[in-house]
Amino acid sequence: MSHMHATNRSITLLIWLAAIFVCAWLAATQVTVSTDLDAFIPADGVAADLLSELREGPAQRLILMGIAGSTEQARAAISADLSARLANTGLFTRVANGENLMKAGEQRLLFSHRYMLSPRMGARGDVPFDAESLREALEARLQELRSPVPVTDSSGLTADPTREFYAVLHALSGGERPATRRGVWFSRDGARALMLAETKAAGLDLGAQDKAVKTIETTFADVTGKRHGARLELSGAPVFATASQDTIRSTVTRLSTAASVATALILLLAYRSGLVLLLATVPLASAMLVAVVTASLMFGEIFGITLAFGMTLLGVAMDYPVHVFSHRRRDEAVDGTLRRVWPVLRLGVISTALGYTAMVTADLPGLKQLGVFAIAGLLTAAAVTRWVLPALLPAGWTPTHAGAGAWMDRLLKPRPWLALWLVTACVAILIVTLRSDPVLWEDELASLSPIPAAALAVDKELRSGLGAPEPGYLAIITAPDAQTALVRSEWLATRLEHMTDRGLLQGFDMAARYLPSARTQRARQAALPPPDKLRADLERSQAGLPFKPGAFEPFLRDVQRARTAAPLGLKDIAGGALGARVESLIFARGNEWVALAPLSGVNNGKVVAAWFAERQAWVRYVDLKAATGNLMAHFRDTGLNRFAWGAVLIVALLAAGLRDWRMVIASVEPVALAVVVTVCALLALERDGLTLFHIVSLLLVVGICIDYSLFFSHAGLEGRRHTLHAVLVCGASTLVVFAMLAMSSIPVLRAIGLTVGIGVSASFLLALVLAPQLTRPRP
Amino acid sequence: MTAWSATVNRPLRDISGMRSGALPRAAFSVLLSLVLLAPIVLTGGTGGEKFSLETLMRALADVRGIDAAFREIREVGILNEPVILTGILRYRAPDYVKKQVLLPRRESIEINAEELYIDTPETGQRRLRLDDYPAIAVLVESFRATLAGDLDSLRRYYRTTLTGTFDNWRLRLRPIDEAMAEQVKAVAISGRQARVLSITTLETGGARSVMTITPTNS
Repeated sequence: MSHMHATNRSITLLIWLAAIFVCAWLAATQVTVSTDLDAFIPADGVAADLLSELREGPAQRLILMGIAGSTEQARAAISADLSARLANTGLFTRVANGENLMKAGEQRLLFSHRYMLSPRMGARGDVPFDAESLREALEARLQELRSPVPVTDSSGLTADPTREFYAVLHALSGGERPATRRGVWFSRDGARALMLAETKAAGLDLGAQDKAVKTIETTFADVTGKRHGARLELSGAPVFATASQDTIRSTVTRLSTAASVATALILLLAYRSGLVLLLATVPLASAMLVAVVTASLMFGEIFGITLAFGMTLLGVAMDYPVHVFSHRRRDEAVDGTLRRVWPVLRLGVISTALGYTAMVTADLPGLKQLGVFAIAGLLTAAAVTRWVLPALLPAGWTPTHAGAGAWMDRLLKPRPWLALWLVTACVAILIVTLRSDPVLWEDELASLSPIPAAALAVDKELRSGLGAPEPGYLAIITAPDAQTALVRSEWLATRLEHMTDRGLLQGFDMAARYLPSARTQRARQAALPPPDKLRADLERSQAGLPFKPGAFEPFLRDVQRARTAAPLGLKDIAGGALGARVESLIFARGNEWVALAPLSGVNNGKVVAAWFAERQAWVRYVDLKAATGNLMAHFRDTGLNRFAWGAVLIVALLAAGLRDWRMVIASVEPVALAVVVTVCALLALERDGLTLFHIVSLLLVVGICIDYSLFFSHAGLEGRRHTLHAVLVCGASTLVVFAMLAMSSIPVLRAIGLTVGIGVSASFLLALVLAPQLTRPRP
Repeated sequence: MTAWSATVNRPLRDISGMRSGALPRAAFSVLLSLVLLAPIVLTGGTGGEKFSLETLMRALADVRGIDAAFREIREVGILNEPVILTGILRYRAPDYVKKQVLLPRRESIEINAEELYIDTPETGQRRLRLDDYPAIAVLVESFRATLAGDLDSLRRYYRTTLTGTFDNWRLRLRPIDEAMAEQVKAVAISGRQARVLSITTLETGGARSVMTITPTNS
């Protein structure tokens, strides 16, 4: 018998080790952790526009830089050096610190198309370049040649006497009009040199944006090298995202270390055995490995958020081995203990896992993945506890149940009056909470952000200095092709200009400002005068002015050429500064084209939104704040919905598994009351309302509480001390870990910590008092 | 020095009490001393120093102020007649320059340390920062630095070539900055002793401007 037992043991161990190795190998080679939030958000419905802006919107890729300290000259020099180096890294679509330097080839292209690109051509009406306007232009040029310091380049005059090319360049610099000193951008008071950079990485690709931000920092360190005193101020959406990630990562690392240490201490205190420590981690580690691999294989990649969240949820897996250890009796084999403990444990695990099944059906990829992760992990932990742990435990090994004693019996004495009192107290808390009409839901994304106020102040200063748009409001135009999108944008531009005149907004940006539609370009071409008429008008305008006859032949030639040239298209400008600018504002998405028009300085959001609501279907207005709020609400409602379904499933399962309505009530009542108490406490503590994270953590509380109440309701008289010891150890370790989270300054971690911390304490108390009470054998 | 004075003295003593064979030797000594004295006799006025850019700059730096009339003739390729500007040029050491154009119409440009004032009939007087207009700053520096004798500043922006003598010198400045060099080929400043008499600007496009300066204060 013992020989077969030993063989079984070895086989079990071998299978387990093999599985672990396979998973570890898979984890190392197949698993990719994605930091791209793109897949976390559903791609249709409420979030489609929001997603478009977040993913491709130029404002989400803009990094603002300020160079402060040292002397003004040093700041200007650093600005020039830094911008040159950053432009060479290839990580940015553009880096601007002053005059936008264009390559010669691009300048030539723009010069040759100036009569179709120049915004002044549209304003000239139907007759550009008549004798009067030419005369005005020539007189102005003559004055320039006669000025005391003629630094103007006279060579461009012969081809471009009206300076159309300058108008094109001027339009390119668009909304950004910072003050200039020493040829580079400075804040008004000169205290900072200003720069901006637009990352190639999309707004939701956190990993790539992080790389861009870090590159800026290291390049700055290289450049300033010996120049002491200069410091770099960074701001903008990519910087915030990176900083948040860094903060979260460092906090989580710190907390997990502290949590591990605390848990280890508690286990040592409870069992006075190092072996316990080692063995307790086996189910947890296996669970995590299998969960990661399963989720990753099912979805192709695992989201960083799922990983973080999932590991928290799997903390409950620590409880399973603890139950085994606490129930160990000196006189029985390990298998015997397990046979006693396993039925209850199994019920608990399956009901918790069932709760998470509800999440798998959600339409949010993130929640789906979390559900799969949790289920895989929990089932693995239970399986490992049941079959592998006995194989690892030495036969007859029983750890000390430190602290167990007679006081436990006193504690466990049924106290009907206490039970009644507790239930009444819970109901009272509920009534009080309902009466106080608390704020239920927190919908502002900003509340979840761990960005300090100082950083936001810097952002405001840099943004106002640079005239950079705030990523708040956006008009989105969709069209079947690029040219239609441009035409529609031009239509919108006139309307937006009216709104600007009325003071509803300060300005806007769009691709059509830099690259007019082919239709507009052709209209401008058609309006250009025929060669003989232009020649006659030019001669008339030249009368009396000392320009050589025939001096402007290049001008005549260029206008003639422009009359029949092909319009400039997106393909022609690709690759240059103009192309980069335009491509960030108009692009193909699926089988349609999207043109973005960021609005800045919107004074009256409601009026603007109402105006857009009345327009055609192909133009939409996105208020980022409102949209993210809606998204948060959507997430939260889905989570709530799933939570409710999960609860129903759990009760159904318990009814099927226990087959005794008294037991079912004994298990469910403490859980229900614990949830009620936790929610009321949270509403009291979180003045601004609850979020999705509170709801998901509540699922964990439900799982834990079911475990406790099942164990308490099943414990016979002799096993009660063991149960109490087990539950005390589980509860203490869970409480310590989540209490640490609750003290963190990061809102998400704090939410999870508070929920579970309060939930566990309430669960313990309620399960302890109510469960045995309800299953007390009738005398 | 002592050998030299010995050489000078000896011929005199020899002449006073001469014997017949001493004459060729005396003549040789006189010739030698004349040769040694010649540079000092010929240069005169610079206190014994060789003519160089440094000495010129020092001499120019001594001039604290200039009030002069100027006449500028600009030849521009596309115009069939040269642009002629006349007016008043005023300089005060070390960094004040004002070019007041009187004909063909009144306008002026005035630089005072970092500040730039431009006065035209269209815009009235505007006050700007010289730092914001680096092209103007560098061009103006070519003659401000020369007038002030500021060699360091001159060398920061231009490659300098000095020809001629102290009485008739010519300073050719070629811009160091590439962007500037694309427009302005060279600035040539010429003068007599510590007086700047003409400034010629050669543009790469072929345009050429010659400004002659006639001091009204001596």
